[in-house]
Order: sequence, then structure tokens, then C-alpha cells
Amino acid sequence: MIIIKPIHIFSTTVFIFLTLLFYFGQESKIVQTVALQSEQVAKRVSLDANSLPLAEPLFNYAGNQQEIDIYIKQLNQQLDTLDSRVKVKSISTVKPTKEMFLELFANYKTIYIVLIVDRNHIKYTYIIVLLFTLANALLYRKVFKKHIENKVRKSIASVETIKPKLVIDLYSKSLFIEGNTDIQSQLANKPLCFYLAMIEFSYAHPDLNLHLNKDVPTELLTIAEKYFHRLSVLGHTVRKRPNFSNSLEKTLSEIRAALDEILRQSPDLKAKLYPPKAHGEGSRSKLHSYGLKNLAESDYEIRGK
Amino acid sequence: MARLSINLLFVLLKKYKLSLRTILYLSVIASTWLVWVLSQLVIADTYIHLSPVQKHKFQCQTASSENHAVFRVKVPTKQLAEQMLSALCKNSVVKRQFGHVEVFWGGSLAEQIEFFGKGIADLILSKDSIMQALRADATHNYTPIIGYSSYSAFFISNKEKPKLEKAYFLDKRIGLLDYPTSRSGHILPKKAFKQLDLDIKNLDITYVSSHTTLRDKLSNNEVDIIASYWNEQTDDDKFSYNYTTPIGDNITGSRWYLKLTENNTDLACAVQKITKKIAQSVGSAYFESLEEFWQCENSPYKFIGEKK
Repeated sequence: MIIIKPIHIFSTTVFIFLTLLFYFGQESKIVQTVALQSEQVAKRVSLDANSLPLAEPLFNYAGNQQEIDIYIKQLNQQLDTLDSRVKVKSISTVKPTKEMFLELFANYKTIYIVLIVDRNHIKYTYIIVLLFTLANALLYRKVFKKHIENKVRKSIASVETIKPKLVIDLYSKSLFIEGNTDIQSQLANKPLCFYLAMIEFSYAHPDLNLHLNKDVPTELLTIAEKYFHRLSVLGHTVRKRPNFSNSLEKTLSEIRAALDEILRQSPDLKAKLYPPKAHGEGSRSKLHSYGLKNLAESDYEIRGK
Repeated sequence: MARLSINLLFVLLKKYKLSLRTILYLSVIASTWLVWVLSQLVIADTYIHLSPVQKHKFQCQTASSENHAVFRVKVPTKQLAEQMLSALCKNSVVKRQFGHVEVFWGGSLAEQIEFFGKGIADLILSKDSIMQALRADATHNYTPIIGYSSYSAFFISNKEKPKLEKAYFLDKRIGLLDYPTSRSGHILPKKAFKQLDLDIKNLDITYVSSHTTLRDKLSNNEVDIIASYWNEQTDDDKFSYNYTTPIGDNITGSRWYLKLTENNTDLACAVQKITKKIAQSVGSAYFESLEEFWQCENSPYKFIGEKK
């Protein structure tokens, strides 16, 4: 089934309109040309009429048709070379019936000129109309495409207002972005519990800095212990209770490695949930904090809490 | 190209902050305008300039191009004009005396009177009656050079010998010539009707423009009687001399007249030679029997006048 699209209606309308315009334009020019050229022919015949052996009823002149025919032939040859739309069919002093004619009124005679008029349009020039229609259709398509793109962009923008969030699943000990389970990463018990504790702690105390050269706050360690206990409740293999304050750097880099892949697509979330790295010289200064800043509740979800 | 112009459009669109819709409107309006202009342009230029179709004047230059003297000739037909032109330009006497030769042709009587009566033509083919009417011999010293012999005029019919009776012509279709200077085809038959006390208005007369057309109409039975001369060469096959009735004899034929202001005997004899040759080349009996007005065999050349 053919689906009629707006572009088809547009193109058809433009094509019909332009064709009509082109047709009437050419028609009017042809009419004008024919009128002008007929006058030119009439002028020539008038000037030559004196030496033409035309019949003159008033003076009983019979005229000489052969001479007239030769004259017409010669005149038409000239008209041919000039690409005239008008040709002479006959010149006589007898009023022709049926046909259209030009009348030249002289003193003692009236000369009637019957013309053969070529009113044909130049057909191949109608390609112009086609080209213009095509150009307008292309422009219309472009305009239409932009319009659709804008629409799509708007709907995408409205989807994005529902912000993505990081999901930490205690059942499978995995991390992923909500709605995108293709990219997941697993974490071992210790970094998982520590990361969960970091999130919870940083959310509760957004103003507190966590420094590498200081001891891990006891509150944070308590939360980590709590999550470790939860993991064992959920049935995960637990060997022995880890010491959370030991080898802190290693734990952090494990967390970072797991997050790197997941948060690559969402830089906004990464800024909030990625434990900040120390940069440059003197990075181990007192100023560097590995705590998470500006966390919102909507940024993460912990399943199986 | 289209892609480029569309991209250009979008550049404009960004610069002037026009909406796509406006651009589309503008494009349609521009297309409308362009299509109209092109529809006017595709039809070729309307103006045509027509030059005169038939040349009624031929000219040639003789060897002496420095000489500005012009020899003008007036003849009735184009064919004769062409023959005269080449013959005159080749002639040694004409070459010596004139720089140009101009030959005018045309059957109009009015033109002939202008050329003859005002002394424009140096050489003209005309009739004695016209010469007499204009007194061209006295005013411009026109002298006859050569003349076609005298002939007789007849009513010619196809089926019986025409009778010069009033009642005979009343129910007949009659063919005459349309030019009033023709004696055999116009003046003499009308004179005959007048003598028979016939009103021309009551006669069924068809006018034609030449003797040939008259004969064609008679053979085709479009007319019953024509008025013409008897051409022994051609008419004996088509018509019977028994079915002719004479209406006049000893009609002087056409003559070549030369305007001779000086006693230019060389020129007179040169022209006589040329016109005689041309007349004979036509080859009809009517034209063959020529009357020469000049004695050109032995020097001194002289005018001998009409034979009595």
C-alpha cells in the first residue's frame, strides 16, 4: 500500500502549480510573439504589394497567381531563416472563408493574408519545472527531517530527566547502572563492604573528609562490619572477618577498578560515586580526601540491605 | 550543486535567524518567479526584420569602375532583365562609355510611364502607342532601335469561326487581357464590341494577365472565345486557323527605345546587336521577325527609320 506522505502532497502541489505557471507563461509569450511577427509580415507585404501582381477587381486585373506563389515561397524562406513562428499561406484580394487572416486596407483593394502560425510549446523546456520541483522537494525533506530530529531530541531529553543510578546488589555482590545490566562488575567481600560503608558514611556526613594518613573513622568501620554480617546472612562464603582498616589503598583501587567500567558512560554519576584519586606531587598530603562528595539518595540503590 | 545551494540556504538561515518554514516559503516564491521568467526566455526573440523579398533592380559593374556614368534599362520581366544585364556588362561599347549598368524590371504600367516619360531609362522596351502618348521622342530624344514585327489580332475559338455579329457574343464566355495597353487582347476586341453596339457590361468577360493564360483557358474550355494574335509556331497544334476572325492588322509590336542625346551611333548599334540576339534566343515566330531601325553593317552607322 502506498502511504501518502506530506512531502508527496507538497511536491505534487508545487509541480502542478509550476507547470501551470510555465504553461501560461510560455503561452502568453507565444501569443505575443505571433502577434508581433504577424505585424512584421503584414508590413513587409504592404511594402511589396505595389510590385505584386494581385488581382484587383475594381480595375479588372486578374493578377498572376504564379508570381504570388513565388513571392510567398521566397518570403517563407526568409521567415524560415529567422526562425519565425509565422509563415504565409496565401496572399489575395479575395476574402478567405473559415481561416484567420490579416486585412490590409489599401485605396482600391483590400489584401488578405492567411498565415500559418506555429503555436507549439518547446516541450523539452518543461524539464525546468521538474528541476524546480525537485529542488523544492529536497528542501522540504531537509526541513522535515530537522523537524523530526528536534522532536526526537526533545523526547530523549525528557527520558534523561529520570537520572540513572548505581545499583549495588548484595545478592550477587555485583554493581551496575540501573536499566543497563549488560555491564556489571563483581567485588570481593572486603572492598564491597568498605564501599557500601563509604557511601553510607559520606551520605550521612558530607562535610567530613577522609584522609589516607589518618585512621579510618570507627563509625565507617562499624557500618562495614554490619554489611559483612549481612553478606554472611545472605549465604555468601565467608572465610574470616577482614580487617577493614588494613591495606586501605589496595581496597580503594579495587573499588575504582570495578567502577571504572560501569561509570564510563555516565560522567555525572562518576563524579559523585568514584572515590577521588590523589593527583600529582604531595598527593599524599593531608588535603586529599577519598570520601565521596555531593551524594544524593537518588544516585544509588542498595538491594538486599 | 543542489546540495551546495541547500547548504548555503542553511548558512543564511543561521545568520539571519530565519526559520526553516520561512526559507521554504521563500524558495517556493523564488521558484515561481524564476519559472515565469524562464517561460518567457525560452521562446526565441520575437523581433524579426524582413528585407525586401524580390529585387526589382539588378546591377553590375563594367570594367571601368572609375566611371560613374550609369546605363539604366527598364524591362517588363525578370528573365529579360537578367539576360540584358549580363549582355550589357560584357559589351565593349557599354564598357567604354559606362561604369555601371542598372536593370529594373516590373510589369506596372505606372512605373513604365515614370521611366519613359521622365527620361530615367536609357533603354526601355515599350510600345509605340505609349511613346506617342508621352511624346518621348520629342522630350527625351528616344529613338527606336529594334522592333518586333507587325502582327494581326484575332478572335480565336475552338469549335467554330467566330462571327462578328451582336447576337453571337451575347451568350459566349469571352477571355480578354487585363492590361489596357494590349491591342490584340484588350483594345481591338473592345473596339469591335463597340462597333457591334454591344454594351461590355452585358458580356461575360474573363480577364487574365497574359496571352498564355488566355490560350490555356480556351483549351480547358473555360472560355469560348479569346482575343489574341496568331502564333504560327505554337497555335497550329492546339487551335485551328480556320476558327479565327481577324479584328485588326498591322499592329506595331513592342520596340526597344534608346535615349540618344548625342549622336552615339556606336551605342545604338551595340544595343541593336544585343537586343536582336536576346529576341532571337526566345525563338518564337512572333519575336523572330524583327525590324531593325539602324544600319549597322557598314560604317558609317546610321538611323534608317521605319520601313514603309
